[in-house]
Amino acid sequence: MTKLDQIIQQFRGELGADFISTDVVGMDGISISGGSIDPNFSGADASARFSMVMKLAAKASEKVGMGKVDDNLTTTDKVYIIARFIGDGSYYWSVVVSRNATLGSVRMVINEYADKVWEAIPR
Amino acid sequence: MQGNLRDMAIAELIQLTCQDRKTAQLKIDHSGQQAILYFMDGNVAHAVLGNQTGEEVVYQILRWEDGVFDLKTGVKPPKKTITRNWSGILLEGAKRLDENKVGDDLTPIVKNNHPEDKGMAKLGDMLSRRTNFMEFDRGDDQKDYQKNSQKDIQNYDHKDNDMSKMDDILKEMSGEITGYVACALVGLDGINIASHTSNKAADPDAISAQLTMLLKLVDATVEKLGAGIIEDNLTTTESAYILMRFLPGKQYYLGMAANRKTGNLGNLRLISKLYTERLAMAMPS
Repeated sequence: MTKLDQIIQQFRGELGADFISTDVVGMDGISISGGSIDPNFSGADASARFSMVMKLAAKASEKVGMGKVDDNLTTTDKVYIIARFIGDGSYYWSVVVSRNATLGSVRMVINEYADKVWEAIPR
Repeated sequence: MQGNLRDMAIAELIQLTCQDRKTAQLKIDHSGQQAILYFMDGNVAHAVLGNQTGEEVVYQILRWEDGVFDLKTGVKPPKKTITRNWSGILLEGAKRLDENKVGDDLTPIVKNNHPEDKGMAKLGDMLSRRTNFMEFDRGDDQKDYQKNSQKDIQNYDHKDNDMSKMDDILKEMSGEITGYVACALVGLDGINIASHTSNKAADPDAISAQLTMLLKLVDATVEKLGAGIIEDNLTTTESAYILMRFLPGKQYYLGMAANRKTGNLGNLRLISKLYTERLAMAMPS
């Protein structure tokens, strides 16, 4: 198990029962670490699709003069999907949690781990 | 004009005075306290209660159900401490009445579950219980006017369907967002139906066009992943929070931007929920 995998495991533990899925994804849309507790949720699909979302968000924000994008949070009737750029923006980290999760706490835990995740990415 | 609050509620006094576009002073005495409201050209301009002044005074006294009032027309306000229009004040007052569960006689006048409905029903109920007041000295026209006014406030959500109202609603909403930057009601073609911004240099049309592409991509992504039905999308940038929330039917969305440093995320999400419902009801059918 790589250091990155260990950090992701630790992170999953902090979210408890609300955790559904997480992936650390390159801007090519390929996940380098992660996992899901829901067999119907395809991490590979989500990684690829959300890389397009993050690219478009970055482009749109730049065009409207709102600066660099930090993260994107999508709320559905079932889940929260948080995708956050890490490090120099060459990777993003997606986290999916149930709607029962306390959003403020999840964001706080993501903030806490973001640097650790970035540092653990093999280069 | 003098009277008792048991015969005519404060909400009704405000409504009638403002709809008559009067400039007036309204003194209200309740349990040893005296509040004074000033109206200027059909809007509440100033309110005083003890050491307090401004809009909060109005919300406080809307709860008063007994006391006496004295309305003098032609008296100008000594200063202006209130800028929100009178209907906005009554709506906010209705919400607060509801939140504080003031009174136990809410009447289900309004059929849907709009968050303002119970408070509005309370105000509507106040009006309906007091329609006989002053009919003895009013002509038929005045009676009809008063009845129509009563219907107006009870059916606010159904009648508020004039397109020009959209701008007013967005403007009112802007005053409730901490760190407000801009907002727009946008179709899925990326074209603004209404917009409002505190930054004159901003181009709301260009912003909406960009953000619509993003929202559509997020919506398609969520659908393809089977992750449920999208409610809203929040993008956090280094300078702003950008929140987009669909109106029911997903043909339009409300886009809002707040300053990252001074904005409050919880406030932004709450206001977006409240106002998407209101905008949806105000949309022309």
